[in-house]
Amino acid sequence: MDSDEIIEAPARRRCATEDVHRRLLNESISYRVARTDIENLAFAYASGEKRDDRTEVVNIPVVVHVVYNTEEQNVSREQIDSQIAVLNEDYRALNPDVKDVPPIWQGLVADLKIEFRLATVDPQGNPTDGVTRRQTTRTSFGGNDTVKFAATGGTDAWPSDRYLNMWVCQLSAGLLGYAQFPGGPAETDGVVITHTGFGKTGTARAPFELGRTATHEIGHWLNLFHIGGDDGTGCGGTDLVADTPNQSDQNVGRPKFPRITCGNGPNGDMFMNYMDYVDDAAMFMFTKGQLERIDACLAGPRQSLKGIPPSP
Amino acid sequence: MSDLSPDLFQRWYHSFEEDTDDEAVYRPADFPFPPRRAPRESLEFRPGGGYIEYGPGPADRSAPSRGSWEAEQADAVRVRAGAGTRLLHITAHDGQVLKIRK
Repeated sequence: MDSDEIIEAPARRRCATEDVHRRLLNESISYRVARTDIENLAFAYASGEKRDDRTEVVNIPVVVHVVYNTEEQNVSREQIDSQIAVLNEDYRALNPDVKDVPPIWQGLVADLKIEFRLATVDPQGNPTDGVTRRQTTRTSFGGNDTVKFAATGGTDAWPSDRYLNMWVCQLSAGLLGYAQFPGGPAETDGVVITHTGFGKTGTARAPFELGRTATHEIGHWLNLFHIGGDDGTGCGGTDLVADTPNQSDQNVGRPKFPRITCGNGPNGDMFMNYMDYVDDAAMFMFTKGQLERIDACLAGPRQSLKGIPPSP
Repeated sequence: MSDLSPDLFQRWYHSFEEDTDDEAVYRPADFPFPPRRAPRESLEFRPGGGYIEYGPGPADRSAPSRGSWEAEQADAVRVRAGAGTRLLHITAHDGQVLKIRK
């Protein structure tokens, strides 16, 4: 699994521990099977065997789980709204800075036709503002999903076949956010964002103060990989998207165009892609190839999110 | 060193901004690191000989590689994780900082 938690095998039988261990082992096996199916479907889209000329916009209900230790971490509704607004620009290619995409790649810019709305109905069918708030005794959370369970100081997920779960908390070790690819357990499905990298106001801090951490993490949640190919500084890794140039490592900061790696001249790395690691102000595009992967995801593991009418 | 000091038994994150020419500097998770998208490389000593190295994972959190540690002479600890084994020379440590010779 794409988890940083190490599960120790029990040294001797203790039924609760053993049960948990077996569950995680089984989930790990089912996860591998699910991932294979998901990637086979993505390949069918990428190769043109299948295509989805989707014209309708997919509306995704979002629940924001604010898990705070200090009052500062209890982010305001205004900060949450600013984050949703960013997503609705970036996933529709309506972000003003899309004009800064180099001319050579302007034709690759994709409107992903996905919009996000705070949920108006909770899992029990009651009205909601789409935000849960919980004060916790934990001063920070790691990348090990503890924020996703009430029992470990966080908040339980809402059903991931109907909602995008977005946890906002203080992450430790300087981590801005992390995600779970489709195909994993429902109880941990969603994205986690540290509050200083969330939205555009309140506690958001430069250079991650434009809400792009959530844009990036939701890209993973929709099955996009890093454009650097996740092989360190190697040139052999791939994001399985044909129209993002092959590049070496992920970029950071605010690179200058062109940045040549892996013999990818004259245009170089597409570092302004949301799936690179640059500053918020330096990323502003998804590509048509990435849209194909997302369409495959919405036809496969996340198909239950299609057809949800927009909230009023 | 025959055993490890108890204050080493935690997860240590590479605070590369503090590195010198000779030493790599590691800090605990609650150190006020500057934020970044990539998870910091980290390592964890566990009582009883367990050792884990964490590298960057594909969904922005760490990917663990599990192994073992074994105390050697003086300041040296032999660690095994993933496919490799290496000797770490610990030049300084307390509960808040771990320095390893480069």
